[in-house]
Amino acid sequence: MRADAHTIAVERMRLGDHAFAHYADDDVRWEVPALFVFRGLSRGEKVIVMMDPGCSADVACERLAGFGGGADHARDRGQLVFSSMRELISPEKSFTARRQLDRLRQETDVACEEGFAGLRTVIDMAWVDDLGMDVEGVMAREKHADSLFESRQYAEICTYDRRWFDPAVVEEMRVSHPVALLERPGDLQAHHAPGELYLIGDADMATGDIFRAAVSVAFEAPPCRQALVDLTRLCFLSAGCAGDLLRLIGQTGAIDKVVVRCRPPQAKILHRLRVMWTGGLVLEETGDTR
Amino acid sequence: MTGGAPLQMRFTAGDLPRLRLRVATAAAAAGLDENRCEELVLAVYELACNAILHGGGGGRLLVSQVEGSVRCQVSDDGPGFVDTAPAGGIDAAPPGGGLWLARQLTDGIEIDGGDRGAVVTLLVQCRSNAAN
Repeated sequence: MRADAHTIAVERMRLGDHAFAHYADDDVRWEVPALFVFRGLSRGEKVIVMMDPGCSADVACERLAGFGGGADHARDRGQLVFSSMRELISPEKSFTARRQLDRLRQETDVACEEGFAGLRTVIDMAWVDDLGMDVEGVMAREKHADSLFESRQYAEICTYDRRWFDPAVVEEMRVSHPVALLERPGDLQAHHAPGELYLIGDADMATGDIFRAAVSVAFEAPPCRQALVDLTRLCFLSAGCAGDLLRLIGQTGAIDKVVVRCRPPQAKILHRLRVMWTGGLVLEETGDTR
Repeated sequence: MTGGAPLQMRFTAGDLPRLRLRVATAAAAAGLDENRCEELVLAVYELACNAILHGGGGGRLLVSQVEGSVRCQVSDDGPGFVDTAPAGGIDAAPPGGGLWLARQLTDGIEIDGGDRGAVVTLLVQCRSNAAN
């Protein structure tokens, strides 16, 4: 799926985000939830996991534990909870958006009362089939859940199996969520606008070719002989890719000025490579707002 | 590393995203702030790349918490090396560039480049100011 202005990597999610994720593979389906879970645990947030109803809590915990240590301990102390949509709305038998939103608000309040920094949930949308819901009703809920996130004490990922949901539904859900996630951790995608390049995900040994190609395209014929390269949605920038960026800036003849917008850790790497800077490079360091 | 248990994993190129996640999780659990976590992840990543490129396609990572510090050890079964990291600065990641960067981003580095494989150990203090 293409990247756009609301695409980010799961590592960049914060409380207050309502995100769309997707998969079409039974191993890949665990990757985004795993990172989401472990980031939340490390930030002192409570995490509720509602995976496919056909998957037991023990199996889900075991799958997540393969990505990092501490899932069992977090589960034992109540920071990591495995549940289901059926359990969430219980004792009600049928789903209503109102009932679900109320219950998630209650769970957020409970998490904060328990001393956690907030609540994050990851919800595999397989529950739609499990509860016999009509897709249109679920889509309406997804589009009208903003109030749940306003306090910035709650974050949620809704994961869609592309093998089950109609492609048009998946695309409508991707567009309508405030945040859309890259399919897999470690991916790199580029979002181009006239004179601007936004890089999203990981720039490393595995994605170096994509990184260099995206930067080269952005420098081909920008308007006004200026270009912006925005790195703030990268969650990893290797020294090799940082060096490649500076080399490509130095080699371009079509541009007088390149603004590289970046977060503090990225700025630190680029400063270490200062010997490669050219006169047309302007480093614009942002606060880490995401 | 939760509960004091060290993190151990073997890695090849395909494991690098997972390696970064596990280092970040361990560093956050040890109390490093987000920027320091990112720097440690980058330092370990650069060493892991060295192991993949020059140490036989992969290596081993051991992360532990020792006396208020996070200790990350990357080892491989390659031919070993001599520390030639440039003192002044690096350009487009020349040989030794990863080591140089790892040294810049952490509070201590020990290198054993012997003939039975390389062993590089990084140390980051949990409550120190970032090394600049």
